Amino acid sequence: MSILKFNWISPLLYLSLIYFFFSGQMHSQSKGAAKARIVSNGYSVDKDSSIQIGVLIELANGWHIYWKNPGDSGMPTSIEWNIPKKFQLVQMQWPFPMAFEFEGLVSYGYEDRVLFITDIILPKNDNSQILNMSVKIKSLLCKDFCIPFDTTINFTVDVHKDYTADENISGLFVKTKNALPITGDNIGLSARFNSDQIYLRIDKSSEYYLNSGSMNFIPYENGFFKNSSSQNLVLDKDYIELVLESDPFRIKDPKELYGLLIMNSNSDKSISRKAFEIRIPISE
Amino acid sequence: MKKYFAVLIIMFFSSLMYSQKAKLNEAAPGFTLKDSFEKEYSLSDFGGKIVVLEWINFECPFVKKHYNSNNMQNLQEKYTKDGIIWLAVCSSAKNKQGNFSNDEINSRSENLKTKYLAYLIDENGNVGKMYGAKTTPHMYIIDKKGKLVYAGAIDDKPSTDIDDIETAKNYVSSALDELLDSKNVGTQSSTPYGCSVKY
Repeated sequence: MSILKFNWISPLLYLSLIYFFFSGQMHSQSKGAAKARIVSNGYSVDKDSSIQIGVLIELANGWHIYWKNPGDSGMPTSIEWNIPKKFQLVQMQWPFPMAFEFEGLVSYGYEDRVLFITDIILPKNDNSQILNMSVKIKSLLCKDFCIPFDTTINFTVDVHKDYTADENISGLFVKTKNALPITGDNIGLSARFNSDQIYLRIDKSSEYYLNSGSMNFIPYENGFFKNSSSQNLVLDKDYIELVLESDPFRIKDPKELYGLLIMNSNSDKSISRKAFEIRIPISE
Repeated sequence: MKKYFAVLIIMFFSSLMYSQKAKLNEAAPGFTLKDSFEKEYSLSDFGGKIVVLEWINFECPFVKKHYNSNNMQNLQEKYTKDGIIWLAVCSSAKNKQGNFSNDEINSRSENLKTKYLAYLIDENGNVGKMYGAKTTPHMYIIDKKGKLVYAGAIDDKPSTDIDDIETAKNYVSSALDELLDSKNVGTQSSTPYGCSVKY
C-alpha cells in the first residue's frame, strides 16, 4: 500500500477562505486522493450583478480525473448545480484537458488541480440575502487503479456582503480562463475523409499556417475517432494536415469534426498551448 | 543453432497469430488461453455457438458494480442456459491490478457465484490487444458463424452506481436476444466504459 502525499492548502488560508466567501455552511469534501471545494472570484454588492464561482478539485500526486469525454477508459466527470430558481446559472466551462497515454490507450482529463468556472446571475430587485446551493460531483479518480469520487457540496453565500478573493484563488481564475477553449471559426479549417482516415487541413492563407507547432484534435464524442495523444502532422508548402485515425469499431462515419483542436506553439522562450473549439463538416 | 532457429520460427508464427485485429462483421480472431484451473480453451472449440467475451478485473469499481449487484451473474446464468458460451478474460499484467493467482481467482469466482464457463488468463495482453479491449468491463459477442457482431459497453449508463443498472439499456442482453431470435444485432457498437485494461 503506497502512502499518498498531498500538500493541501494551509489551514490558515482555508479558514480565511471560509471567512471571506461563505457563511458557515460546509462547502468542501475530501476523499483521500482528491478534495473538492467551492471558491469565488470575489464579489462587490454595488458593482456586480453576478457572482463568479468555481468548483476546485485538487488531486494528490499521480491521480487524475476525466474530461467530459473520458477517452478510451474512465468516466465523464459530471457536475450538477442546484440553485434556487430565481438565480440563473451560466453554462459551466471546461478547461481543455491533457491526454494520458498508456499502452496505446488514451484518456483525457486533469491532474494536480482543476477549476470549473460558472457565473451565477443574481435576481434583480430581490431582498433575499442568502443564496443556498449544492453541487453534486460524480467522477472517477485514477492512477494505476481507480476509485469513484462522488460528493455533494452544500454552500451558502450572503449576497449582500462584499467578498475579496484571495490572491491565489483569483490567480487560479485567471489561469483557468486562459485555458478555456476559444472559437476556432477563424482558423480556416477544412476536413476530408479518405479510407479510414480524416484529414484536418489548415491552408497556407490561414494565419495559423506558420504559427502552428504540433497540434492535436480531441473529439467531444467517443466512437468515431481513435483516441490519440500524438496525431500525425503532414507539412506541405500549401497546407498543414492533421491525420486522424477512425475508430475501428465505428458503425458509421462521422459527418463532422466537433471538439477541441489544441495547438502548441514553440517560441524561443516557452511552449504555449491554446485550445480552439471547432465544428466543421467532413467532405468525402 | 537449430534450436535457436526453431524458437525464432515459433516466435514469428506467434506474432502473426496475434497480429490480427478484431473488426465488426468479420471473423473473430482466434486465440488459445488457459483458465484459472489450467485448462486450455480455444475460440475454435466453440464453432457453431454464440460466444460472449467479457474483459474482467475484479478490483475495478465498474466490474464491482455489475458483480456486487449480481447483474453480470444473472446475465451469465440466463444466457448460458440458452447454450451461449460466456468467457471472462483478464488481461491484467503481472503485478498490475486484477492479476491474481489461480487460487484467488477461483475463490473470488466462487464467492461471487459467477456463471461464466471459464476465467481465461491473458497475462501478456495479446488477446486483449488483438480485440482492442480498452476497459473492464468491455464486452464482445461472436455469432454462430464466428463473426464479431458486437463490441462495446455492457450498457448505456457509464457510472459506478448500482442503482443505474435498473434503468440502463443493456446492449449485451439486447444483442443476445436478437441473435437467439435469429435477427441481426441492432446496436453493434457502443463506447465501452470502465477502468483501463491493466496491460
